[in-house]
Amino acid sequence: MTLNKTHKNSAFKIPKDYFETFDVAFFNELELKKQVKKTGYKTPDGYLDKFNVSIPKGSKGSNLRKLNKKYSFYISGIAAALVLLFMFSLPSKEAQEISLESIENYLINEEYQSDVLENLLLFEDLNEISILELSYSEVENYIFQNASIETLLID
Amino acid sequence: MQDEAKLLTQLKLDDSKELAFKTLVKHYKERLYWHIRKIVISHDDADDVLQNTFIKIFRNIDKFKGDSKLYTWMYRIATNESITFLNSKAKRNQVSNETLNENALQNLVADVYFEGDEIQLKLQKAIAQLPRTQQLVFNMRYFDTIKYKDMSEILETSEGALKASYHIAVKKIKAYLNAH
Repeated sequence: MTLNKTHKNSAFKIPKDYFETFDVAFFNELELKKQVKKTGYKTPDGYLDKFNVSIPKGSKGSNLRKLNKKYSFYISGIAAALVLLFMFSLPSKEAQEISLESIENYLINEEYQSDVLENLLLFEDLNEISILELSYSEVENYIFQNASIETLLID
Repeated sequence: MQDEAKLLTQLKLDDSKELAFKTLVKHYKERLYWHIRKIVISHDDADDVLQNTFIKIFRNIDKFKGDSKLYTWMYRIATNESITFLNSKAKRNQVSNETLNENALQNLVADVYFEGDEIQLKLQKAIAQLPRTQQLVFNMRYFDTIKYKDMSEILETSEGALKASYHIAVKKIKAYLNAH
């Protein structure tokens, strides 16, 4: 049985153009490895042998900042509003940067309870949260991992 | 590493966690270091990121569900920590990631922890021309010979896409080396 007849009878398939591209890719890599195989990086003498990890004290568990449920709702709500504002407020196909003033105006115009925002700044527990140290990406990640948008929308 | 399941159990128990963690560090520090180093380039930066990576592993080991291999989970943390580190460094220095990378490569010539010859230096410059994901794929496949299946778990990308990315990267690097 010839090779052609063999592969026509089998039920196996291959990706499109596999044989056409195989040798090109294979020989490209082979030729590159003939020229250079290693990165050239090195470490200080004994670095890896002596390497040790200093776990900060009190780090028994997760370092994820556990937001108090009460405040997490408010913080998540504000962050979600900002995300939604960004998503739905773009007037044209080109993305525009939203100025701080626009965000502030939005919060004011949407009648966010200023006392709610003030309270967020007064409660002592906020010292543990250290809001100012939370980056936008940390808050965003928290929202996407721990809440659904529907529960965050404030009526 | 033998008996990963046993190590994982010990890592999740308060009594045995610290000792198990030391074992983990001992077995994986070298692999993670070189993975990180190829991303951040400088030894000092790699040292920082390696510390951060292991701290993050220690703090989050309870959350590891075992739906991937332990080492691919750790590699993913190392990759993300490296990228976060570079993004923060670029922001602190008020430069783009590309500029940061260019500066790092320029410093490589005088770097005491780089013993590469001219072709190895050119290779690093060639790699730096690639988009970030292609850089990761190339380094992991070419130098670390990581299987596409494992790479797929680390980068959360399909094996097919990774293979294509790798072959494109090799082609571009070859072209760069031939042109320079």
